[in-house]
Amino acid sequence: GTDRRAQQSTLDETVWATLSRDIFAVWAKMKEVLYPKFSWKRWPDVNEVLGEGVGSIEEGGMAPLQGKVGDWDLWGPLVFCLLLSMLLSFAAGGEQGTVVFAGVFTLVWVGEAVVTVQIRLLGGNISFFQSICIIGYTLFPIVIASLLAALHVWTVIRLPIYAVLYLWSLAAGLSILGGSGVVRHRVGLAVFPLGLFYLALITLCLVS
Amino acid sequence: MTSQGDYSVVVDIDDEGDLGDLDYNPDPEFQNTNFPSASGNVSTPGRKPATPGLPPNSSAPGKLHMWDINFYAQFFDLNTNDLLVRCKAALYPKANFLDVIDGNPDLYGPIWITTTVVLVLFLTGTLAHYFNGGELPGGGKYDFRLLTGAAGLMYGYTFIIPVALWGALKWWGGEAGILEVACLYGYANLVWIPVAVGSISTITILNYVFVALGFAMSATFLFRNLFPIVSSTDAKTAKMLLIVAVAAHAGLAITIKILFFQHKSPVKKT
Repeated sequence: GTDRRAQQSTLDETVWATLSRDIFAVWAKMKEVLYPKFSWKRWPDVNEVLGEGVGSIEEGGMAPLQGKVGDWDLWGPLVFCLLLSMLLSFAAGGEQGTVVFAGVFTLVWVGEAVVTVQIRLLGGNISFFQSICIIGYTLFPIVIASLLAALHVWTVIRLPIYAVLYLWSLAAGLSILGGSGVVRHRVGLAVFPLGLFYLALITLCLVS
Repeated sequence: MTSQGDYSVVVDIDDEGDLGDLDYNPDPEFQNTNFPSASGNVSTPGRKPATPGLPPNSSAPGKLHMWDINFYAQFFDLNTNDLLVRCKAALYPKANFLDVIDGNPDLYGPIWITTTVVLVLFLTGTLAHYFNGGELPGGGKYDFRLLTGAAGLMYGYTFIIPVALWGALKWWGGEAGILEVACLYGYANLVWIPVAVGSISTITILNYVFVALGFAMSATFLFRNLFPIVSSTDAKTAKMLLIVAVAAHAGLAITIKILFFQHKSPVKKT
C-alpha cells in the first residue's frame, strides 16, 4: 500500500506506525488551522486577517501552512462531526437522541458544503475539499462547547465561554478566505454564511 | 514595414507581397473579410468564401450550462453594500423594490435571509417556551423538531409560492420573472427577525401585536411590489392573485405565531 506521506513502502510497517502517521497529520493540521493568526491586543480587522491571511495553496502563502493544509484529509472533520453529533445527542436528553444525532450530522456536512459552494459562487476560487477540510477542523471549539453542554454546566457560565469559542471558530474559519480571491467588497457576504453556520451549532449547544 | 497613406501596415510584407497566412489576394477584387458583419459577407463566384464571422455566442470558450457551477454565479453577483441597500429597502419601503433590484435579482438575499429567519425562529421559540415555563413532552430541554419545522415552513413558503405565482401568471397569459418574485419573497422575510426577537417576552398580547405588525409590514411590501408584476395579466385575474398571495401570507403569519410563540395552545400538547 502507499501513503503519500510515507517515506517507504507501507506494507511492512507496524499498525501503530500507520495509525500514528495519520494521527500526527491530524494533530498538525489542527494546530495550523486553529492557532489564531492575529494579535490579541485589538479586534482583528477582517481585511487584515484576509489580506495577510494564510495565502492560497497555489501561490506561496505561508510556507508551513501550504505544506500541511494543501494536503487535505477528511479524518479530522469526520471525527469532529461524530463527536459533535454524539455529544449533542447526549445533551438533548429526552427521546430525541437519535433525531438530534441525525440532524446535527446532516447539518454539519450540508452546512460545510453549502458554505463552500457559496464562497465559490461569490467569485472565490477555493478547492472544494480543501475548504471542507478546513471548516471541519475549525469545528473543534464547537466540540468543546458541546462537551460543556453534555456535562450540563450552568448556562450562566457557559454563555461567555461560548462567545469566546464562537469567535475562535470564526477566526480560524476566516483563514479559508485568505487567498481565495473573494473580491474585497464581497467579504462580508462570504463571511456571513460561515458565521451563521457556527452560530447554528453553538445555538444547539446553548439550548441543550 | 511599408507605409501606405496615413497608416502603417502592421504586418510585414516580404518580397513577393505575400502576407503569409492572411487571406491576401493581390488581384484587385473585393476582399472577403473575416470580421463578423451584420449583413453577411459578399462573396464573388468562384472564390473561396471567407469564413463567416463567429456568432457572438460561441466566441466565448465555455458556454455555460445548467450543470456548470459558474452558471449560478450570475445569481450571486452583488456586493455587500448592495445587499444592505436591498435589505433596507425591504424594511423601509420608499422606492419600488424592483427599481432597487434594477434588473439584477439575486438569490443570496432570499436564501440567507430565510436561513437566518429559520435559526432565529428556532432560538426565540425555544427561549420563549423556556421563559414561559413550558414543559416539553418527553422531558427534553428543547424540541429539535422546531428547527426542522421552521426550516420546512420558511423554505417551503419562500420558494414554492414564487414558483406557484409564476406558474399561475404564465397560465393566465401574463409575464413574470421568477427570480424577481423569489427575490421579493426572500427579502420580505427579513421582517420576521425583529418580530421573533420581540416575541420572546412573556406578555401574550405583545406577541399578537408584534406578529400583526410584521404581517402588516411584509404584506404591504409584497402587495405594492407584486401589483406591477401581476398587472401583466387581466385585471380580474390580477386581483384574484393578489388576494391569494396576501391570504397565503396571513397563513404564514398565523402559523409562525402558533408554532413558535403560543404558550397555551392545544397544538403543543399533541
